[in-house]
Amino acid sequence: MNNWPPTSAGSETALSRIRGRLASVDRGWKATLLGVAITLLYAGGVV
Amino acid sequence: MDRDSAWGVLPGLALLAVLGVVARELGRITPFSPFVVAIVAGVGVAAAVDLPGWIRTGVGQYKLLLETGIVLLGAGLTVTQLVDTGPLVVALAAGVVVFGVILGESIGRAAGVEPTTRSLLSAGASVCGVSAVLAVAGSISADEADITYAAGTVLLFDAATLLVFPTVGVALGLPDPVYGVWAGLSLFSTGPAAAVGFAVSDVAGQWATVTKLVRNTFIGVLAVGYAVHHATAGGDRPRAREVWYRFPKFLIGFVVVVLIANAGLLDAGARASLGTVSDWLFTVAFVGLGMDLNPRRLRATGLAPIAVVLTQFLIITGLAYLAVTALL
Repeated sequence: MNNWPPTSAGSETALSRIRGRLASVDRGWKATLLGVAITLLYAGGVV
Repeated sequence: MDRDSAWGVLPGLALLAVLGVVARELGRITPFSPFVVAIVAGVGVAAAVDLPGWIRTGVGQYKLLLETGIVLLGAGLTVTQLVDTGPLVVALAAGVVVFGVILGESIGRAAGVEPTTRSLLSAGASVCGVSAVLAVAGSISADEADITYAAGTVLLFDAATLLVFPTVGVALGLPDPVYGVWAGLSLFSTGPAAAVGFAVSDVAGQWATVTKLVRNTFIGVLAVGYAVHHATAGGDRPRAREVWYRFPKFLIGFVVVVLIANAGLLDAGARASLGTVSDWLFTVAFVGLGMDLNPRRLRATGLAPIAVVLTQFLIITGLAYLAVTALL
């Protein structure tokens, strides 16, 4: 079945899937991503 | 509403943030450290009110804030500091882990504590609290009752040391870096180690956290060691995936931020700002840590394991004190 353009039901499923994936990511990796992202924002002068 | 969705965690995070702001303000206008005020506020609220589930979901996110704050601490660590004291801190941490495990196992055997329980207690007290208990539990096929027992004992000591350590540290009048390393070598869990350090000063908090992080890296070695010993004694084969699963991944983020900072990508202003962000994350996280230390949530533990862990803790803390005051 062609999934493009995404329907609202289809995008909701994709969003739920992303949320599910994010929820299952190890907390230590989330802290790593957050911490490194914040550091890079300061390093790049964005903040 | 999905309990783990972004919206689901907002009420609890908002409560932590509000109490965090109050703690920072009280810390600014009174002689008390904002970190201590944050912990006391958390303990007080959790003891006074039975928080509903829709609040607790967000409150549980304090560990993510704490670990993110630790990752950002890497921005304040310079190569000079690492070269000057790094090898010594690593050697002291290794000594605490190796001697702590041998001591815990020996005292536990003498006190008649069952082998699985004493291994879990030795691991929790020597490396990184409940994380080490869970990692070693996977290596020695411990059951739920053993894990609950050991984790409860570790949590009990986290709460007690959190209250006593800063008072003793201030009374001893140690320089901040020395006190920080001593706390990092002595306390069981990362959160309380950071908290007792920052309760005295920012410098002490940074040293306590970095030292504790060095100790945490031994979790893999310890889990593999126990797994090999258990396999030799007729148990299961070592499980590398279990060890990796329990490994505190935020250590990788901490090292990455140290590398970014020391590659010259952060100027002094950016370092100072990241220090402020880290301070705020710690303050908010310590409110949640205080809530998690609610005595009503601590499980009942037996007298023998408590006596074993107390003896191990006092000996290790005493030896660590002698070592840091002589060598640093």
